[in-house]
Amino acid sequence: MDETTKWLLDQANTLAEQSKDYEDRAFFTALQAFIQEQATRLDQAQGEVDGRFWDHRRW
Amino acid sequence: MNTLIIVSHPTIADSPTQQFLKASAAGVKGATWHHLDEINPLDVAAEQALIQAADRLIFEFPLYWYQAPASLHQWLAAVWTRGFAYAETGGKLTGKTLGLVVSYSQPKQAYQIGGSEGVSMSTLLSPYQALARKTGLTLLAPLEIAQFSYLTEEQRAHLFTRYQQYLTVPQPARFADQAAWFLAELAARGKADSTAALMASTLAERQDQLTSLRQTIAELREGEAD
Repeated sequence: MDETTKWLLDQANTLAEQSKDYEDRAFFTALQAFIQEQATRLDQAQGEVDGRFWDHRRW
Repeated sequence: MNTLIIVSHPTIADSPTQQFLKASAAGVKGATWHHLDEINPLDVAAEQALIQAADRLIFEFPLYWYQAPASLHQWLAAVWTRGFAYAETGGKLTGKTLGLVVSYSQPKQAYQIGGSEGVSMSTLLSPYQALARKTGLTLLAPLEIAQFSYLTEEQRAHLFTRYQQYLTVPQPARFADQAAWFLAELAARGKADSTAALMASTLAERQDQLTSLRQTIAELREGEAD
């Protein structure tokens, strides 16, 4: 996991724990799943771009 | 966006699911909670005015013998009249969206062909698909809530936000729309919290990066097709 993702997840986790009302706690809990999903999609998209640039059939 | 949440439930005070959803809806600007079983007497013109003021309609109900409780059917029969809901020249609902929030006590996999209930949720909900087609409503994929009482705290937190998105986001199943919702919510919290503000700008940059990568992929694919 990259540093930025880790930082975002840590912050969201801290904000969820510090939240006094349920709506904020639910939001920051769900936000952690969003951060993970966005990071996964970024990895996949970057991987696809790299893969397509390095396609052996296109050398 | 104005969203009218049309709730059909005969014993709503005893329903933890509906109480939970009501608390979630309370945090959504423009959302109106409309419990059908409490309406007495029914004023058809007032109901139609409420519907017309909404951009999105939500039918929300527990599954009773594979369908909505009676109050939804009675309300539809009385309020969705010819000339209002549909007409030769087009009804007054055209262009709005319709969402379905359906709860049930079986596991989600029970409602599929070959599942323990032997019928898919899409089949059970198909009358609403027909209704949406006839009245010019755009139907959203349903939000299903299976076995609410078994959800963990974390799953409930996800449901709380997914439901809020379902009430307002253009296409709730689309990741880019979910991202826009999270960013807007985070930016609003960022006004009072510098960490939230920094997170919002970081996540926005990442989303832009994702959009740009997707664009590159689309161009590369196009190039390969040539």
